[in-house]
Amino acid sequence: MSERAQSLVLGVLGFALLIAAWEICARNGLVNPVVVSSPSRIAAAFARQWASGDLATDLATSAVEFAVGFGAAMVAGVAIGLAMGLNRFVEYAVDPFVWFVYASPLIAFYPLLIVWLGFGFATVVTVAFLLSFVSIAVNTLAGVHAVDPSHMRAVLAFGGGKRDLVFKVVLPASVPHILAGARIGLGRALHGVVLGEMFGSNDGLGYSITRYAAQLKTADVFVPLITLVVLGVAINQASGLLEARLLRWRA
Amino acid sequence: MTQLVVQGLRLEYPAARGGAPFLALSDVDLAVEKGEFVTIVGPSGCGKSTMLMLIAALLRPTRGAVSLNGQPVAAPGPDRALVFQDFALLPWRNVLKNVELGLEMQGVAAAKRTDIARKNIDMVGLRAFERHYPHQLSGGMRQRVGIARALSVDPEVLLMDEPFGALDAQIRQVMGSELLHIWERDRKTILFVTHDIDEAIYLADRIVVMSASPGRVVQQIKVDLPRPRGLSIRTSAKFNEYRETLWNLLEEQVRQSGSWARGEGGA
Ligand SMILES: Nc1ncnc2c1ncn2[C@@H]1O[C@H](COP(=O)(O)OP(=O)(O)OP(=O)(O)O)[C@@H](O)[C@H]1O
Ligand SMILES: [Mg+2]
Repeated sequence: MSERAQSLVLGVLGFALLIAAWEICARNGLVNPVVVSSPSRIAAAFARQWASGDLATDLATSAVEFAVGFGAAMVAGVAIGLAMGLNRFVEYAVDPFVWFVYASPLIAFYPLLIVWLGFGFATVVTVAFLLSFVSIAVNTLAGVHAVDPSHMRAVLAFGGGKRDLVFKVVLPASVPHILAGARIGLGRALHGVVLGEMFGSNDGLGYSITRYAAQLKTADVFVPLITLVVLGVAINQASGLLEARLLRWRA
Repeated sequence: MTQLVVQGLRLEYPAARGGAPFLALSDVDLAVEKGEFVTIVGPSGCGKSTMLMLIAALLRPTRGAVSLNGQPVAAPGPDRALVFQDFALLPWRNVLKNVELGLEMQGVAAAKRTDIARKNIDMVGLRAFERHYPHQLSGGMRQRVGIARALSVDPEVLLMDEPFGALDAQIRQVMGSELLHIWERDRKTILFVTHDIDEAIYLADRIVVMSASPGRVVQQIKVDLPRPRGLSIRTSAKFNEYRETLWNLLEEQVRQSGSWARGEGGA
């Protein structure tokens, strides 16, 4: 068996053992199944939420908020990072805001966001955006700073202008940095969606977690929770694949 | 016919903070015939690269001028193409796309670009590698790409700044003889900077020897060796005479500058 297959089989086996142990403990009364829940109860809750359509609605809400928040962060982050990298004055002017957004515990602003933007979609998207865009902007900026002058010289020598420098050198050369920033930004945007829904919305997977927990429906809490974990893993895997494809040119 | 004229060329690099401006070239005069292969040698730091950048118009002279076919050069253009020591290929582009770069800058249509690029890739023997990325190629192959890229814009003058400087001795000789092959087809004017005395002689119709910094032209040597030249010409008596002359000239320049920086001995 290959190394890879071994690690896969053992990983799945370990996970299955944990679930089995949990179920056995719950059935024997070693843990209180009402408080801690159990795999079989969670499975039943899954079926219930799926049949009622609640899960699909939550998932759709969160997915759209995530896509809009992260998409906006990607566009703004790359644009601002490029502008900062290409123009010293823009960098000096924007830098304090970037670090302010980066360093502050943004979730503390949620009451203000609710006042300004209302409960729901806009607030959630904004939290996701704010959490993820800085890592994208800062990484893009680092990418621009790391551009090899000899590549610029080649483009200039063949008669290229400013536009060519930006689109044929600076941007493609920054792609590895931009992707690294996007990778961090993806995780932070998902965090932002969940936090935003928990504190500033009545919809989505994050909100359902708080609501079921308040009702002490432990098994039901696990449904949106597991969905989020799976979502996180899937997003991470997909971005890894995309990255490998886009960076084939690297040694 | 005189094609490229460099007249009273002087270049001062602007002062670094608190320092004085640095004089890199002082009054360089040079005239190059159409189709001539000129090699340029001189001590390290004497301004050879600076001179090529001025001819390419990537730098503006402090004084003096460069003209091509009687017209002053003011901006980079496809009539002059550079080949760089560090290749300067774009790592995210494959061979074909790298060779198309100059044509893109000129706004040549995509289909025509590919045609021209393929023809030049063929000429440097990389037909099987057009989809490869630079990191998948050896140094010699990378510089073939650099040469194909420069030839693709069909320049009147090829400016080569130590193009084989990063390659080991054997590949370097092979590349030199291949360059001569290519040159003999259409006899483009070539200015070729090198640190390698043998290379300077082997390739040249004429060798320009520059002084230590600030650079001037101190001597020009016409190379009267028959063409086409095989690699064995390097062992001939005449070649040896040139080698000795050039060695003495360079040694004198280097001694005056008091630095023996980068193995100017070459061979
Ligand atoms: N941008 C710059 N600013 C200030 N000084 C420079 C700059 N570029 C080059 N110089 C200096 O000008 C001199 C000539 O440099 P240049 O690169 O033209 O020499 P070179 O003959 O090509 O040297 P080498 O043999 O090492 O390639 C050197 O002393 C170098 O340090
Ligand atoms: Mg140089």
